[in-house]
Amino acid sequence: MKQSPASVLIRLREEWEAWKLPGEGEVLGQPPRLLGAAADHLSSAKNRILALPARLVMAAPIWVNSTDPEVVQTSIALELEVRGWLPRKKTTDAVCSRKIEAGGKTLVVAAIFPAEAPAPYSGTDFARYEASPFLVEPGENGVALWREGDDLVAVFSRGTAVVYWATLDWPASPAQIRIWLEMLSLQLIATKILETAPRRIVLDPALGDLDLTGHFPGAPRENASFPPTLKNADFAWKPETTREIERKADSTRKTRQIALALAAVYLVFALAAGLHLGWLAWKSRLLQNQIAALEAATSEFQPVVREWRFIGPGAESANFPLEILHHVVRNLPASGIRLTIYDTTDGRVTIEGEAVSATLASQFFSAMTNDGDLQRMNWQMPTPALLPNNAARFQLTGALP
Amino acid sequence: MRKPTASERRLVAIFVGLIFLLLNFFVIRWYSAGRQQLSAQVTALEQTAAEYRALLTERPQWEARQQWVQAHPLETHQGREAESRFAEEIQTTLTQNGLDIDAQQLKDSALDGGLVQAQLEFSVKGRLEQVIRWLCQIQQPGNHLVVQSLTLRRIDDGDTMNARIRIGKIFRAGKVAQTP
Repeated sequence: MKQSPASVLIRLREEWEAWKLPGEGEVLGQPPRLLGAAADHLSSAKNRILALPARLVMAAPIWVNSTDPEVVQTSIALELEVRGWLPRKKTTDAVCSRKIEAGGKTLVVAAIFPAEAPAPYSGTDFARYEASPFLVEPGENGVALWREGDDLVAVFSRGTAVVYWATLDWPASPAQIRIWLEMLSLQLIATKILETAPRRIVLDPALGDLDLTGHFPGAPRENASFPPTLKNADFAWKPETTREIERKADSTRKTRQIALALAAVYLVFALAAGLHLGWLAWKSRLLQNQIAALEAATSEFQPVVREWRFIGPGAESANFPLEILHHVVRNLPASGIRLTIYDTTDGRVTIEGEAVSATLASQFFSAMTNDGDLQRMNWQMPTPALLPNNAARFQLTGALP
Repeated sequence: MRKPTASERRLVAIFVGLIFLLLNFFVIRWYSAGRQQLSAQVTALEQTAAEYRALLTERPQWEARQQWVQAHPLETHQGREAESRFAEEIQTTLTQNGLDIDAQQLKDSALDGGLVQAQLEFSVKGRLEQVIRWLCQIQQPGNHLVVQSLTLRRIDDGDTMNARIRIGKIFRAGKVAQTP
């Protein structure tokens, strides 16, 4: 998809200006175009970039004696805290760092942003935000000077990377500016942020009358209108209000996703429950149809089935009390057991008797349970009671199937 | 219209949530009851179907029983007269087998599905052999007599038994003549 060209709002010279950057697919090398005053050229929030004035963003170049990312991260956090630059709430949301490795060390250029975008764009939506020093090209190993309203901005580079910037917010004379620049250079060289004194000086044409002759010997002086460029920009910072809005939107999106997931689970359960009920109803109808068919198939002998419940006990000799007694008696040993009670009531058979010993009673019980004709009755015998003469009184119970 | 505040929105959400929960409660209750009812119905129908299938597999047996019932028809029950005749028959057989009747009582008839069961309860005393001979005599297939309960108790060290018996006879229900 073709990306729309981005527009950069930057305060160069006196006013906020709107610049149009070349979009994707456009002719390579086409320079950014000045649209005019920012107030007249506010493009869509999706495409516009706000360049924060340099005076609002503090530059903090710090050397860390390691290249291990974890060590660098921890060292920077500690260093910022010691210097009192860590923003409120102890978060690093407002600190964006760029790292340059050199000789086993890491030069971290921390940019400490304000909490919010400056007026008149505080509360206005922008797609991306960046400090103005990172949106211009200061030139390789040079110093760039331009005005942002009443502020004079000096940006120093190491190679092509921006490593430091400072602003002068009072009307200084050229001599004072020279001293200021020299002082900054010496400080940066002393702390090894810069390897050498700036080798080139890039000036905004609006500073045409500024005479830096005699300073930075051998450094040529160039003029540039500082058109915005995205080469050094990483857009890592956002105002707190934007972050808050994004957090809320993220939270709302997550809540919505959870609600949708719950609704989906609810619907799945409801569907499963409905299907289960439907399946039961279908099974019930199927069984009813089967029963109707089976009923028709068995209708001719259904009256006999009903009557046999009453007639059967008087017709089937297997359940006759006499027949059962016959099977019981044939399991009695030749001597040693005498039956005292034989009772058949409501399909339950009870036999009581006395045996000369508990062992004989148990043998009788064992013979009963192994009898092919009596096995169906599930015989039970509690432990026989021993009588004073060592005889045993026993009771057997069985149930007709 | 005024945009609702956060607390108003929260209140509406809580209210809607409560309504949703309440609806769910009733729906779940309805579903649970319906499911329970349908499950019980399916279980009962499965059992009935299994019984019918078992009947079908036993078809030859039931046809034989039907033929047997036709070959040994039940007497028709014509009120008290049939029951008295049944009691007299039992008394006669007991006397024939030398058993002494201690007590007897004609119980109320039970009626079920076009059949009537006359019931007689009595106690007799006699030797075990006599009791068994009597039982052999009366309980023959085709007599439609059912020994509902039998308690044989030895009353001394000898062979004398006390038998308490409840016996029933199956009749086919007939129309009882009524006085106008």
